Amino acid sequence: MLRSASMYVSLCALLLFATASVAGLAPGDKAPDFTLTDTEGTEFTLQTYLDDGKIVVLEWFNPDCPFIKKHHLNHKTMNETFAAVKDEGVVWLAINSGAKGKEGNGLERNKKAVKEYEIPFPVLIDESGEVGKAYGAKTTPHMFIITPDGVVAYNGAIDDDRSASKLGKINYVAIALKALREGKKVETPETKAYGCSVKYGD
Amino acid sequence: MPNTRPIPLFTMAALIIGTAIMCAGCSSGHKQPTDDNPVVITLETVPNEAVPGDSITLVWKFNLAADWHLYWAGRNDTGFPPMIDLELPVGWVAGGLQWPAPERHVSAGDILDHVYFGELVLIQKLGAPDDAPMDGQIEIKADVQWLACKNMCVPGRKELTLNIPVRSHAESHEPNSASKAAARIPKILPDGILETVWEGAVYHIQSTNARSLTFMPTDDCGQLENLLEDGQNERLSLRFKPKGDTVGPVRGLITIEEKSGKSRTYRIDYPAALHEAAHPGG
Repeated sequence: MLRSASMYVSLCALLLFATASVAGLAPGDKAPDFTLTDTEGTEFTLQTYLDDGKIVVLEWFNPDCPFIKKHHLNHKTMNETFAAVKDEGVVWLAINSGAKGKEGNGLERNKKAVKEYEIPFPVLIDESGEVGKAYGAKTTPHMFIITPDGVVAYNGAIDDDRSASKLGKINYVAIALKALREGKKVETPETKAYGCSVKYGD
Repeated sequence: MPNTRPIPLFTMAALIIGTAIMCAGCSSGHKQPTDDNPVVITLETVPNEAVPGDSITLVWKFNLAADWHLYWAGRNDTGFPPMIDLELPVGWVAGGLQWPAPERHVSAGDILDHVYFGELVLIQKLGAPDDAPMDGQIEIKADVQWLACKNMCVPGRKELTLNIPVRSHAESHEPNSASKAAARIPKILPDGILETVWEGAVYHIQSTNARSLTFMPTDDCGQLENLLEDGQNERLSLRFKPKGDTVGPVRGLITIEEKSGKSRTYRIDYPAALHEAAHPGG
């Protein structure tokens, strides 16, 4: 996993993007840049990966949401989807936009979840919710795929089963990543994300 | 001092009838919902006996702990509505679930859902085949799943078994919980209550008597640009995303809060329209 070398992107720059799109991003929109810190204290900047020609998957995360447990604990959807592409120029970042005191918030809780769920990618903490709101992330999980040119290629659900227990038959993220790596058009660039609400602050 | 007065005959009869309906096969008990167990579900049949060739009503009652909500089976940003899978004997046919009007619920981050607080009662018709054997009973099994949320979300699941006697005739228990629940299912909007018009891809809805209108789209409604902004106002201007050369259809529920304070919810179903042309609708 590449780690960001950039320590200079200020939150001010982030906020310029954050105010632009309260209603959420559509495929084809420019993805707002951000710098966030993971559970180990390492900073990650989206633009660094894009500059390296990476495709970036963003997964909105809350370790205590039953839908996150479905895909991280009861099944290994996220880990397996990432494992299939991690050596092929794809970076996966989970983001927890839950506010202080809300379900699934807190460094220790997320650190524990990384171990318990055996998460092989960073979980970034966005306690202010600014990155989540900039993307229009509504649910956990809510998936975005960003192409190296910084454009949203996919926005929506991980799969097509909205229940908290069963896996879907179609993994939209896996299909979109395959298309992008083959230089093809993403046939389903937008689906309806499902899950718990992102626990933003009031 | 204990109350030793005899129970009046009328009250006792009412209790017996009520109990017969309430406990016809319900297996979940009548616990009160709590934060640890936020949903208590009960199932009743009305009447509690089936007649060959006729239908009965299944009444699914979800009691919710304070501040918890369940989801409507329409458009929501999060969650999922209660789902009921029935296992029926051959020849028995279940109709679709009928849903009462939900509340519009906006939470931090511009998250818009349509939900129920307190209690949700769903009704469902169950048709008996003409050749259902009389003087016996049938067994139906139900697998019920839901998601209840407050400041966290908790999925729930309950498997229920219901034994329904089959008789040559059934006693009427009107008025009953089924008819009360049926009265809360939104009816199709009568003519003359709303004024509607398409203007390009925007569907305008107004009513001279309305203090506020709320539109809650079903899943088969056309795609809207911004339901959060457009879905509730004194007059509605619903911006639709064109699909090909059409917009709409406009399908869902509309709650009309009248100037008198009275509030009513109706189903609306207006067909898709060509989006280049502005023309009168509904």
